[in-house]
Amino acid sequence: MLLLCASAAFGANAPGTSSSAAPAGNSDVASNGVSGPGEQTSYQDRLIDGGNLSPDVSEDLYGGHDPNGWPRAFRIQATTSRLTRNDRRADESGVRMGGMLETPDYGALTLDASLRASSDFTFGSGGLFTLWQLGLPMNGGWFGNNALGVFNTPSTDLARQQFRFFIPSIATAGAATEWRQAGNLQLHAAIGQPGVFTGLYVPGFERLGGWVASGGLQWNISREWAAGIQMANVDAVRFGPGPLAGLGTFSAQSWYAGTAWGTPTARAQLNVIDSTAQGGPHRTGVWLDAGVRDSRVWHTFGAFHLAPNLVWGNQQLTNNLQGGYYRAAFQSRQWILDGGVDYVTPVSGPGTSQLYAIGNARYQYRTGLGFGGGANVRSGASDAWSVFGFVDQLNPLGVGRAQANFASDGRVSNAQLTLDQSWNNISSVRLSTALLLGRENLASYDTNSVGAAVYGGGQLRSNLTLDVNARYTKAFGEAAADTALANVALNWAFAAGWTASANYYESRNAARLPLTVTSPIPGPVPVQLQRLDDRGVFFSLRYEWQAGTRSAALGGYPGSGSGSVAGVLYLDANDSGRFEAGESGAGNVVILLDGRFAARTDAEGRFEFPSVAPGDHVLSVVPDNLPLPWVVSSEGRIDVQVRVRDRTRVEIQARRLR
Amino acid sequence: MIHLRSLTLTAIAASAAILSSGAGAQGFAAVVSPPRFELAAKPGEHLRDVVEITNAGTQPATFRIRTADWTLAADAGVNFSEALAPASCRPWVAIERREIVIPGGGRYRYRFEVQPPADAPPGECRFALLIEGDEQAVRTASGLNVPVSGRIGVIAYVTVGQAAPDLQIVGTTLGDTEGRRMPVLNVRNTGNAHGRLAGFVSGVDAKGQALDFSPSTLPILPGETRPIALVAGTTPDNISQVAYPIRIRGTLEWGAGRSTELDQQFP
Repeated sequence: MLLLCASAAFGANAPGTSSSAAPAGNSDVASNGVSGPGEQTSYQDRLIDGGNLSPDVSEDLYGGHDPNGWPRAFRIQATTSRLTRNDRRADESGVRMGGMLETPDYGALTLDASLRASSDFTFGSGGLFTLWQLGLPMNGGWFGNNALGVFNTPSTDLARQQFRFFIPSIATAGAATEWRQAGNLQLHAAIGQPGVFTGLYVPGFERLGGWVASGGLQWNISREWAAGIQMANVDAVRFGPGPLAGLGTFSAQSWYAGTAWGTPTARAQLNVIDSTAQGGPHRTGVWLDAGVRDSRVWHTFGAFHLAPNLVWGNQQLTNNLQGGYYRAAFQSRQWILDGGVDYVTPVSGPGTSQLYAIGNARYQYRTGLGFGGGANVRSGASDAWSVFGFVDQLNPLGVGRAQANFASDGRVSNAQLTLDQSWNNISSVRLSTALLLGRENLASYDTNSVGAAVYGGGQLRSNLTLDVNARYTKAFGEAAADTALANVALNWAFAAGWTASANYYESRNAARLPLTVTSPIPGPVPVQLQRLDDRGVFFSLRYEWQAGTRSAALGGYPGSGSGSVAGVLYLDANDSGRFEAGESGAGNVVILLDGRFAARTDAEGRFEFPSVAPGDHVLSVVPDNLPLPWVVSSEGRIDVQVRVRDRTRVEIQARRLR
Repeated sequence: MIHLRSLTLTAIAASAAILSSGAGAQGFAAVVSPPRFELAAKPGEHLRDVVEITNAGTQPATFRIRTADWTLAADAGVNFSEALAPASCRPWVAIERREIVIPGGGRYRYRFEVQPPADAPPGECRFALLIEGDEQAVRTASGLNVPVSGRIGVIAYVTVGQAAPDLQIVGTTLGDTEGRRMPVLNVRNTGNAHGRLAGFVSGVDAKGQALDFSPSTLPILPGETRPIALVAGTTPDNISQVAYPIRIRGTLEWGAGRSTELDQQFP
């Protein structure tokens, strides 16, 4: 849709000239051209109501704005919320402000700051402040990225690009710098005090005392070879906020070294980690990831040995595990096939070996009909298996999917049938609905459930938008408990630059998720997907001011106008590729626009770049705060196209590593 | 009659930059959505729809809007005709107004109506909405000021009654499309509405490379025969070079649930 619309943008040629040939298949999408002076119109069109319809046109967006100067923008948002969590009230109020300034010689500056107060200790009080300077040009082809305030410690590309294991970054209040020479060298260093992100609708940061220092270097030796090292040192850092503060402090030193070789059809990366914590012995982890493309099949495989108690700074790593894995993936225009096997065994201590196998297939039978399914099985310490099947069909009303899932681990078994329908857009309104049937057996108790979900929204009026994500499930049986999830947001742009928003959130008894059978290669941090019995409302008032940006928006040229990019980074629990009712957003994750402008997701995973030049842009997710074992597809790179005055919506999928 | 063609995104960006830097010109650029309409109407009934026109410039801009007839040239370019073509359905069409002013950065929801007469036979009404900006002087590299006006044609297909395409493959050949030799199907439409080919066909080329092919989605208008290229690729995102000869088999889809089997050697 966006691409097609962009191809409809005005162009002009001098009379008698011709533009490039029409791309195949696009000739009736839109056409541009010229008319010579004096051309005659030989037919007079009829007019609706004699040409007296009231014009339906928006107001002047640019009146009163200063078009001169560097592109710059500022916004401030006041928010107040009232939340009840497990019958305990937790109010939160605060102010969040941000600004962007694009300079010709000093890169792009982005400010993100907040000040907040909360009545509940689990949410903390305080605020955060971050000033990013991204894309600072220097001599010799170097570019610098600097951060002052709250950030996640930088990493080399080698440390970030991991297939099965992750080197986390450390949330820090301090200063960081990263220097990159295009395609050649990377350097980074950071120092500060570790902490944890807090806050619901207004982000905050709670320091844990002590200090952290990190640094790294990567050298891209040739087109094929790269090598790098990085370290993190934490000292006297508390184990956590609130009650965890009484558990004492933590100190550790960690080193990472990696080397990679790659061609367009093959790659391999060797990684080594050494860490020592609390003055204890050195612990070592080694793993090798490799991949090779054979015609239309990608094979990826690796082996690993990760000693117990491995840490990176104050973050725990996957540890006490050794084994190997293999994956194969095939894609054609009609087939998508993937499968693989994992084998893991503890390095020391109790525990048993585990074997995991997975296979998935999808076949596009006709352009409007596709089906597929998959299965996985895990044996060893905890035997479990699951199967699923689905049919996707293009129908006159939109796109429908019927999916059946069954999973069992010997203690719990559950079956689900889901009927999803994404309805064709009607007057700028998006709508997806789902019907859910479920049956769960837990400790000899059977629970049946039936539910409905709706996800959608759109422009109710030219200045009023509504977004809804809701699900209700009615359960029947001795251990039955209904579940309800709702997130409703109403945004009203009531004057130039001013927006008022109201949001209602409710989550009741949604803690027990359907059983999901996953690989025994674990993420080190348990994932809390759902909150327990939350209910709340929040109101916010936002003012945006821009100068220069209207005529030279972020990444744009004078006169190009601007649009906006807004989106959500969500945890795709059922791997459907769609943000659906009941799924959560990922908060406090940094999203970069063209690598130069930064925004941080809120508690619901939402983010926005309010003024962006029309055209093609790249969003990249800095996955440092993404809860494990979730990963972003396409290495966190999302291509977006922005149209003038349009709000481009992006839903970024984080999928569970299987 | 004016021969107009689509522009690539690069060309659009270049032309917008030229215009906005033109001496004295306020710069004009517009974005139109949707890029085409595929509607269905019943004889005797009103059908109203909206095309959104956004002024990408920072200053108010005037646009003139009118309907046109159009045909699709052999090279897939669109020929617009402002004179009323024989059997044109433009007398069924009414537009909101002939000239609009959109403020800088503003968006105009422009309405148009189609009302086929009560005795209209099943068929397809095709027309275009031409949206034209003010004439401007653009300075060329040689220093000349050349008056130009840009415009865009938004094509509308309106199916009246039970109209449908009826596509037949009447020949095959190898053709050059965008610098590549590609298998080409000559497709005739004997129905009374436009159609497009879709679906998946596949084959193994002379080098033993297994390839999937997708047909170009060019429309085939009623009564015409049009070459439709089969684009090769292992995935939807890449286009492969084909080593000929190759035999391509599979099912091509078109219309509402219609299909045609293909089993053909190229060349």
